[in-house]
Amino acid sequence: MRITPLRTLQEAGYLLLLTLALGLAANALRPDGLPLFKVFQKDPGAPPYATLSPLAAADLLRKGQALFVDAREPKYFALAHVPGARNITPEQAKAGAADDLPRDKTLVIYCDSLACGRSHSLAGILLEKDYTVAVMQDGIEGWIMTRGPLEVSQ
Amino acid sequence: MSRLGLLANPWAALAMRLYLGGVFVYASIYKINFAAEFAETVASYQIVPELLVNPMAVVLPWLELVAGLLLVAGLRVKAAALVINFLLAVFSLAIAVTLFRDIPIGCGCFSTLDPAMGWTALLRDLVWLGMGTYVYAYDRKFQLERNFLVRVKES
Repeated sequence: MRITPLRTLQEAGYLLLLTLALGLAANALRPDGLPLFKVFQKDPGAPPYATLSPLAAADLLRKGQALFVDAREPKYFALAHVPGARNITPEQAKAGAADDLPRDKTLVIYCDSLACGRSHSLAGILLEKDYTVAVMQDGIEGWIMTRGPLEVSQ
Repeated sequence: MSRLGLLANPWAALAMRLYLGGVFVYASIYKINFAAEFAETVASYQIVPELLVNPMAVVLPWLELVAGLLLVAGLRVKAAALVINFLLAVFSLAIAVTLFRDIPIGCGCFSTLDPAMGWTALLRDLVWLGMGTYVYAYDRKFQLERNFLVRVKES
């Protein structure tokens, strides 16, 4: 039997259908299956800390009630960060680098953008250390979009 | 086997087929086990519309698994290679776009904990794409359906 390109394409199509069925069936059967037709959500259920828009965070900073904490890797922090921000990655915080932060201010944590998870994991760690925590959800990207000032290391 | 004799080596194609199939099976296991994590990876690329993130995270790893298994087994090799090449092309494109947009995320190719990716990830996928094309074109050794199944005469 000759395998023509058309036939191959047809078989690939069947393969696609087969895996579609397999994937959906497996997802339906497993107890931790994902909800299919919901908008993807980073965190189902509201997190136990406040989330701030960049403008609200900037307002807090102006009033002197906030300290920004940058959860990204140091090399990205060096490129640009919110003025006065401390750079603490979740790993560093676990290792005890976050034990000297001020307790009279809200720690506004951010990372790259809406989709990054570092700010949330850092928030979880700092929350356990009894700090007042908030996450600037849109990250440095949102900060830049609202024309927040930036600082560069070096 | 004329002028292409050296270039189109079926044994090389077989080696690539087994390797590529293995890579895809291996890559699919983590994603199938941790679908929710894989969904976050898909979302972090910021390419797929939010509504399609979960369906994609559910189906894509199975496509990798089945196509990988077919490659290893040598069943419907051309179709499986086509699917794998298609996937690799999509991955390469996604990685390239992400690198250009300078989004510092892990590749998520094999597990969620991959370090932030660079151009090597793109290069690797392109090499695999080349292998996949080679398999598609030249593979014919140890194909289960060709060599080990009873042939039924076509009328």
